[in-house]
Amino acid sequence: MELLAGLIEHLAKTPLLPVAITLLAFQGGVWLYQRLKRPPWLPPIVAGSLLLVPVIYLLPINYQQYYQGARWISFLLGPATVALAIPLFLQFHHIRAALIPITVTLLVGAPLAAGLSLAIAWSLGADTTVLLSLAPKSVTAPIAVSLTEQLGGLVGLAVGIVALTGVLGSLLTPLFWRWIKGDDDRVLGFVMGLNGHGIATAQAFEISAKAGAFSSLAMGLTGALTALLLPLCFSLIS
Amino acid sequence: MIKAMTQILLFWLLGETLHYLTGIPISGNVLGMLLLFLWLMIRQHLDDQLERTSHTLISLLSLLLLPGGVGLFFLGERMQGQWLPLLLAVVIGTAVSILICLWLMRRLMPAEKH
Repeated sequence: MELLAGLIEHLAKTPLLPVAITLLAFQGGVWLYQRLKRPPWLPPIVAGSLLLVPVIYLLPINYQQYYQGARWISFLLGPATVALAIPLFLQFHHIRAALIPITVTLLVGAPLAAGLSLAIAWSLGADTTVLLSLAPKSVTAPIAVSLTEQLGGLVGLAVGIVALTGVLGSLLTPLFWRWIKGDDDRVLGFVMGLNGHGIATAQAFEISAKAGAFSSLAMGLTGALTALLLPLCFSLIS
Repeated sequence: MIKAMTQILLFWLLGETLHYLTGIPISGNVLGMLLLFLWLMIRQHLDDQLERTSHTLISLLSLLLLPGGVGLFFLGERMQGQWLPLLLAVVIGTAVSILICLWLMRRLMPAEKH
């Protein structure tokens, strides 16, 4: 027993244990997601988190120690964010097909997606850290992480909010779309990507390739626009 | 793979440098993304290796976010009394935003040419 405790303590000092349990939990999350026939309410990141949290609680390390070791994984968020330029470039030609609807919806929708939630949270008395973690909610998660770190929010909270927004975007948009009897996959896809970033984009590709392409475009544009405007807005306010 | 990864890291480095030197309130990796996008738009060419590598990186996003994301469950007392306003804000705000965007874009979108 003493030997086992010693072993875990030894392993926890290196990045090995944090990295290994993260990969294992992620594999488990993907397996669960596939097994349940890919439900929109349980994307792999949510399923993976639910598996990882009890493991961290059981090990004799706290979250900070875990996060230190797992930085080997999160470091790659940097290049992954830069890589988002590629899908944006590949989908950019769709803009020409509908320049005005896309530009207007983007300029109205991106501030609306953040602003409405911020206004509700603020009026219900949420504190500043929560508001700062809420602001990038409709932005693809790697950009949201940079934004929230920069503004002074909580990374874990921001990622959780972004994931929830993505799930809502994938569930509600097709529902509302049927309700108002829409039939243009370009509009459906674009609104999914604008509000629900990568999680909704994955679902948009399940609807049709066209919905997926427009969702991917909207995700890239919303991410870029919010990343440009949000820090400027906050530096003006404070 | 290595060539494309080097290219991506160089754009990130360029972004960080620009962020540090000019004090633009946009993080280095986001600036790197915008610079790479501009570079691709100017060249109008994307080589296979860069496309494949970026595809791999993006497909790994859920995994890369996991260490930060589980932080949600370790926030402790900092979040006392904050969960309900937060949840209401996210659910209502997102739903209304989706409805307005759908309505607006449907009105503006011209019929598709076949």
